[in-house]
Amino acid sequence: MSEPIPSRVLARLAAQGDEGAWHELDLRYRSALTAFGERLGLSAADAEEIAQDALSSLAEACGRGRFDPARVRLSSWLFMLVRDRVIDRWRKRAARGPERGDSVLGELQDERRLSALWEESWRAALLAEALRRLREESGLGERTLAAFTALALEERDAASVGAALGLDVNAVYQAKFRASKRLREIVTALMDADRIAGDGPPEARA
Amino acid sequence: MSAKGKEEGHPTLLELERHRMGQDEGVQRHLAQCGECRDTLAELVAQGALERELREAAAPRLRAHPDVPGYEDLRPVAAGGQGAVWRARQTSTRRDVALKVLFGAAFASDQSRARFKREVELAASLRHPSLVTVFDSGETADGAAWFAMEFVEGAPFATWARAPGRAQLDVLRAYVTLCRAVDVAHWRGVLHRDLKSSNVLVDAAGLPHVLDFGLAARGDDVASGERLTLTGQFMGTLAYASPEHVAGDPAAIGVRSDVYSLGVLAFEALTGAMPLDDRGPVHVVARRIANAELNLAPLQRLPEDLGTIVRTALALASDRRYSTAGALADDVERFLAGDAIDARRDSARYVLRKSLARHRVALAVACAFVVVAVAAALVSIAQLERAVQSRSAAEAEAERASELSAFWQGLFATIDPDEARGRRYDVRDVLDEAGRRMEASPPRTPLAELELRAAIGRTYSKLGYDDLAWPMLERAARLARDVWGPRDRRTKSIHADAATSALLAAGLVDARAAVAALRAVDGASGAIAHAAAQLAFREGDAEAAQRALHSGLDALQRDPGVDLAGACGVLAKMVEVALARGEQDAAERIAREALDLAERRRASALLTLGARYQLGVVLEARGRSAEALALLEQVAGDFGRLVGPGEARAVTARSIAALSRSRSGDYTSARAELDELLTHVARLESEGTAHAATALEAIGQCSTALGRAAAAREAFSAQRRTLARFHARESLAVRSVEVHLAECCVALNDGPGALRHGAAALGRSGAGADAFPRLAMRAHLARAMGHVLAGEGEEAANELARARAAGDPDESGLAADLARAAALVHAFSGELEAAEVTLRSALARADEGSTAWASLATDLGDVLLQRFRAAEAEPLLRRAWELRCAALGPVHVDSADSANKLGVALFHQRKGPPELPGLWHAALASLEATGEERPSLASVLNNLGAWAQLVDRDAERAEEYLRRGLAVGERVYGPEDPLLATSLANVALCDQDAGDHERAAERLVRALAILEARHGAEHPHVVQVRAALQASERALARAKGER
Repeated sequence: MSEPIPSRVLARLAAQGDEGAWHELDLRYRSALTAFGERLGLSAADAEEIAQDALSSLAEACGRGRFDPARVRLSSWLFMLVRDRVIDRWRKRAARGPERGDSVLGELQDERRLSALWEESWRAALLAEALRRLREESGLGERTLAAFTALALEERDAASVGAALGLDVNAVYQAKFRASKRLREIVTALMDADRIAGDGPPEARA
Repeated sequence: MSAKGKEEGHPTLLELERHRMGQDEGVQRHLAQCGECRDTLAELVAQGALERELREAAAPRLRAHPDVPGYEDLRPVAAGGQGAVWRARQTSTRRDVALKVLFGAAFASDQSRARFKREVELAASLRHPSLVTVFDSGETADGAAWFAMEFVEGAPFATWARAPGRAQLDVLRAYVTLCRAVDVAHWRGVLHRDLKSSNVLVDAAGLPHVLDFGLAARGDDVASGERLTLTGQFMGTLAYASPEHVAGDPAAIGVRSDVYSLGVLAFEALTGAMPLDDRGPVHVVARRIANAELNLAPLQRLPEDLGTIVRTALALASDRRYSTAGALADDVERFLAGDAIDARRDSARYVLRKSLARHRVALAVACAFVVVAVAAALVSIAQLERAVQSRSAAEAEAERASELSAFWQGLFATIDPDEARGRRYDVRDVLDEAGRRMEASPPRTPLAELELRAAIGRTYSKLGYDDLAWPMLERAARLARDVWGPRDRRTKSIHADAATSALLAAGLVDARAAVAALRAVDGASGAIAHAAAQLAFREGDAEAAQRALHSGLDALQRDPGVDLAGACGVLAKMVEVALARGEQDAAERIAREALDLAERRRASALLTLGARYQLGVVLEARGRSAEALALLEQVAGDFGRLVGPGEARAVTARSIAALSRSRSGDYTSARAELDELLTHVARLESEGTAHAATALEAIGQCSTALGRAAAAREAFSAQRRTLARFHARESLAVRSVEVHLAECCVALNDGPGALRHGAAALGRSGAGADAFPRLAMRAHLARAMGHVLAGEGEEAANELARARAAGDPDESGLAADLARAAALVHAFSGELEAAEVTLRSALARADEGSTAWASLATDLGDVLLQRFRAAEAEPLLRRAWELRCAALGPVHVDSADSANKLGVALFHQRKGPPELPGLWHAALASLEATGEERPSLASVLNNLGAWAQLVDRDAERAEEYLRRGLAVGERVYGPEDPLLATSLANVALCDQDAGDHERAAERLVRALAILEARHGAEHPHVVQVRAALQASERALARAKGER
């Protein structure tokens, strides 16, 4: 399994603007940022733009030593960053013309709801990343992964899955068990990585 | 990791997985011993949760079957952004429910979890036939929140309304019901926030049911996907959302936001179109709503007034909409009745209201619901007109407004959730608090005080607390006379409200003052008549009351805008008077008339329920228990849903329904219900309202019917104390409760209590003719029994004569009671033959097969037993027992009493098994189950003691029964009761057997004194006891000599 701890990635970024580190960061957080922007009513293009912007800011902040993973939880930091950008985007739109942006601005001021939305986007991205790692990096066999997908994600009948994979029912369950266990380990590691700064979840500040 | 194969003795993964799903209990024992497998199972559980989350994240609509404990047979109904709905069966009750399971990981924090729980509780507190009840909630093993509600089979409102051939009239009626239901929820402080066609299901009977009340708003923080999806589209609800809702300003969302959604529902149901094009990205649609880009053209197809109503509900500015869902319903009803609708007056009112807004009356504070309630009563056009008349008037207004503002701010500060220290306030609490603050520091300007009092009073009245409303309104009316003058229409309006409340409060001490005050007001003739009738009735002049009520009703009916609440109040009072006078035919006729009026005029749910309840009471009084039961059960359920099952009116209906149920033979469930009802007694007393007093009376009556005399006495005493706060001592209500108390005392063998309460029940009319002959007869009868219990035969006979003189026993339905009392008085005086003749003659006149016949037969059997004619007594007692078992159920105390006496008849004839001692054991169990001590309990214990002593020869058990019998007897028998003497003698014999002659002699001396006084020195029992006493005395003398 690959290194899940972003503090190290961040350290690498901070040290020399490492291309690989940048890629890893991107992989981990871009989807959460984009989903969050879209949920707040931005178009896909706007959301992507903002995600890009936020990631660049992060890289830059790391490079200048302005982001200290020991003091601020990464997800909280990104949340504040992207939230400010989305609000900014809406403000500009409101100022531009007849389009009434204050409706969404009202929503954006509801911190509690925003952080719940963010938490959800973050979690979804984390799970997607965990699944990707399970499939691409865990080294588990094809049949094991297939059994896992069929049983755990598609909720298919174990007997038919076994017949298709040439396994008996018990072996199907064993395979799913192994894969699920590995997945949990990956999820836990990713969560630990996000939590290292230890400032707790971004609870409501309202 | 485990996951062992079978060969090693561990369960397979498949078996463990099945165990996790609750499908395989076989591995339980293994798990108890095997730590490794327990770890594997824990891992499986954690994996299950994660897999579920993954599935939901990947494909929100692909739902696994949730595992909700206590529910089975889940079938998917619908899936939405927030969760899925399943039809399921609740295992414990076997009823079908709708289970809403929110998607996993729904709660970000414990805080939001707690909030969800609170909101489910709040939603569960809503009771209305059209509000779908949430009754259960929890979390699945893998953390998904769920709640269970009634399963409603029906079509979405718009679909139902647009069905081919559906009449607009039916649609509007259903719509009115819907608005009223929403109004009820608002009054309970719950907003819906997501009213839409699919959240309102109409059943086959055309009754709408609102789903998800109070929970819809959870879309905000349970699963944010509800309101916005990944693509930024609203999930269909946007079409119903008010502009302020879309603007996302939580403070602006209130009752009128739901009114807007109701407007969209009406639009859709009536025109088949939507007022808003909700296609496109969320911000585009939001802009359309904010800019009121509504297409209202389809409304032109509707009658003009109906279009105006819908347009008013859909007003962009919330303060131009109807202030409440109830006001919307009222206007639709006006349209249906062909009356002028209120919305027409909107423009003038709007301008004026705007002008008052400048004074910034601080009403828009936290407690939005109370504000809506109170402000609706507070703001009147006239005040607003004044506000803009002149500069000085405006200044006066400003002063008044600032006083009002200070008052409300102070009030809201105390009920601020941060200050309330966890206490939850409902509207009633807030009003009480407002009343207290008003008394403690009334506003300086009379106008402000007057308006506050009127607002508080009218809101009390709206909630049905007329006894609390009346004094507030009365004070407001007095102030109004000073401030506005007696002829001002505002003054008259407050007077009329005060009069209505005085009437509905039924029996206020100040009714006379109310009448006097009302006479000073023009145009309140109907109200004066009510109050005069009330007054006459209260003072015991039933005929004058009836006359006044008739004229009041006439006045009301002549009035084109007949005051429905007033008319129903008058009719209810007339039923009460008729029942009290024993005019049962008239009572039933009027009760039906009242119900017809309420239904015909579509009165509020509470009024209609009240009318149905009263008809049920009349039917019950007429002995038509089955009919009464059907009606009352329904009323109790509806009341419970409407105002909550513990609310006084619901408790009343439940109590009378339980009473009816017990008379229909379902004693067991009636008793269970009574046990629950008894837990409300203390709270009702502390509530102290007229409704609470009625509820206490109903609990007392139910307790009496179920043979729970001590519980009944407790309830009636609480009622007596409650009534004392606002009733005169001579009022019918107080006299009635005194009769109940006297009768309870008789049942509990408390002679002095019966005499005292009987005298209070008779009041001033003690000697002369009484307007309520039945009541007077009962009071005299109770006093006669009281004298018997106190050992005063002559006084008892005199009281009996007064009972006979008070009225016609046949007409009042008291003939059997009178005969039983007479027989008892005879028996007490040793005139057993006269007792027998009296009872035989009453028995011949009674309806064989009735419970009255059974009571007479039991008493006659008892007299025959005393005359040593057990063989004659046996068939009578057996028939009585059978009748009582059939009518009341075998565990009823009356059935147990008959069983006990039948056992004695058998015993005297030397008949034993198979019936004895089983009959006594069963009777003992029934009597013990009530948890109360009564004479028959002592009697059956003594009988079992005798059986053990004489038949089983089991001295130890005999002694146990006899001593218990004496212990109970010492408490329930009067000190002069011969049964106490028998019990004393029996235990004394046990003492002798144990060699304790001192105690034996002591008891025998007491027994002898009682028996000699009652039966004379030569009675066989006296002789026996004397012999026993002499034996003990000899033994004692011997012992002394030996020493």
